[in-house]
Amino acid sequence: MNVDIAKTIAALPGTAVLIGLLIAAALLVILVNWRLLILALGAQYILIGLMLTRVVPIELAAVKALVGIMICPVLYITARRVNWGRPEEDETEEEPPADRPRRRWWHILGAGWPVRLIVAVLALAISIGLASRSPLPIVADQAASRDLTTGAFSVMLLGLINAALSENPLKVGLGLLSILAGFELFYTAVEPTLTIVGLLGLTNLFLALAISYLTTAWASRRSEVSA
Amino acid sequence: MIFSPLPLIALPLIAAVLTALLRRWGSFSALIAALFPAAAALIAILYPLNSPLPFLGRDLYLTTPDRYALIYLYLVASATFLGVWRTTARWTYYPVALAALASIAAALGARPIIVEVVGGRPFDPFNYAVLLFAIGAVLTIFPLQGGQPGVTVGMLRYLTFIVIGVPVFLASAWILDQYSQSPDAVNLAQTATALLLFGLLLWLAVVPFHSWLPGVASESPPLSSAFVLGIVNVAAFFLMLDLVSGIRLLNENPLVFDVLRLAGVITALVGGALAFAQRDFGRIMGYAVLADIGVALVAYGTHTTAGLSAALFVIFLRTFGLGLMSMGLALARTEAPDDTFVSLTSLAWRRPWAAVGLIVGAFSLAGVPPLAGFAGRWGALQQAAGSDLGTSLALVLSSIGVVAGMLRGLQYILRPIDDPNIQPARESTLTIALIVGALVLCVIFGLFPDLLSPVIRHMTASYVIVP
Repeated sequence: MNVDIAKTIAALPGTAVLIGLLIAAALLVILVNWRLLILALGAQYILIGLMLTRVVPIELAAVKALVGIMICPVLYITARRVNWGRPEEDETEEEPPADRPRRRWWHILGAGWPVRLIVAVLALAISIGLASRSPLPIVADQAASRDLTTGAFSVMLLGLINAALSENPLKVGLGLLSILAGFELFYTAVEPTLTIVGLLGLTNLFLALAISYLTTAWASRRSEVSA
Repeated sequence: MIFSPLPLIALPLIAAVLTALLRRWGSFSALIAALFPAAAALIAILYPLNSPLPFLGRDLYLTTPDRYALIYLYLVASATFLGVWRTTARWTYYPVALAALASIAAALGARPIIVEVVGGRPFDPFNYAVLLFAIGAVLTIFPLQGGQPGVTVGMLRYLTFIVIGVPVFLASAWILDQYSQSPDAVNLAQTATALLLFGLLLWLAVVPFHSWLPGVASESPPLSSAFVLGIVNVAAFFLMLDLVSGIRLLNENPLVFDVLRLAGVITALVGGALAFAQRDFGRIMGYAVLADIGVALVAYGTHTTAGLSAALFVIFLRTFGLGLMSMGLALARTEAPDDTFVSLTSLAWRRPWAAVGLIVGAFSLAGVPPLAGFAGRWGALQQAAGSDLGTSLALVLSSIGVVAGMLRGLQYILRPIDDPNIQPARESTLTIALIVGALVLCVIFGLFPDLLSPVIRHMTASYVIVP
């Protein structure tokens, strides 16, 4: 039964999964809301696992997705502990006065979202163009190789942008995790050794712990300043 | 199994568990943290440990240079743990740093034996070494941060460069594998070489990938910075020696050594110039180490056995200056909010032993005679002068920059105290013994650097230098 479900999920059209992956990776650059960011990261890991089912055994792809899904609770717990990156006083803030303008729905995107959107779209255009012109010879199937190259290049480039443009440790960390995740999309297909998969998983987990630690330290100074 | 690298990996791991369990007894766990790596170093001194150790599907070997490298790293780690014991009370330092040490030891044991890509022999990948090294480096984030609120910039940059290096190395390993199957594809060879060089420059903190170094040196607890600069960065240098020596594609390509030499000259010059411009002793330490990395690369870039020996002298002798300076800074920080010149005004009267460590350590890092750093720099200077006068001038300028930066700080450290009621702090006997011990060693190795010659001769004989 479980194997059937896995096979059904793995049979999802490759292009649909790729588009989903590109959207999730772009959202990691565009969004600033920590809840949505962690959700997008989880979605990115699941979609990477799904893409991998086309080139490696389902069990191995599932291990990849599981490592990612294990990272998300680590970051979620950290984010909750530090009040989602807001100073403590925001929680106790009184009801806003009636004359204050009502927030529009797009406030969750944060200030400067149009610039981040443009950067993400440009990065996607560059990586898709690069991957279409010279896809890496990952597997014999040309279409699968092209899709994997597109996914890997996009996730890595967007991760690099995230790491380079932010000063918030959580966002930088999501960028670093994305760089590794994008690379693993390509590398697992060419080097499906269980030991390497395990060592890469361990690297990801320790990286997530380091990011959590730095995020907690970063937020503690903000709380001290606001107090 | 006993005569394999197993004790070198197992002992720090056992110590990590013990120090975590015995965290309530700070002095006891500090002793365990210092003794276990020292015991591992002693075992490596007494036994060659050259039997293969099956590890996750491949064999770990310990060749002569890596054996000496690990002895050095373990002795430095042991001394660092003793220093941490006398300066900070955070128990979390030991288990994490010991686990990082074990991971880095495994990385050096998992490096490629001989990668005969051109000769058509099976390709021996170095992806295990890269991943184990990355795990060790990521673990050091915890002692580097040290629980200080809001201090993250230097650590984030360090983490970023380490993580970016992982895909770069693994991709080059894959491309080398492809190249071994089709040796006529020159573009594969060029791409792999470029990626490997890029990865090495990233992990060695060469300019322009050095931005984390001054940040970490000024923000982190000084002995945590010393751990990263004296162990992780040195292990990255040994990884470079292993890769360049083991991969024929690299060691037969003179362009690789030209790039390393050029990167070294720029790094040494930038390190010296920026050290002069600082008003913070921690940042001076960071830039002095940057200049030292540049000097070692220049010596290695000469592509001769004598150049390799000089590079190893620079690397080994850096320890004394770095250890003394970080110990001095750690003691000074117990009563100063930061490492700025102003904060450490009159340090020589308030904490004389801290001032001694700081001043002598900085001058040794700068290569001032008769201290240990001078012996290393002198060898590198001789090698550089043999190939290019401009390069040797750059190395001299980098030393002058560090010395000048330190002299600017000296006028603050030596300024007399205005308040006659302030008495100099009394250091514990063990702290004084540690500083005096490091000081004596710093002078002995500065006056008699040949004491290291037999070890370095053994090491250079094992690395491949294609004339």
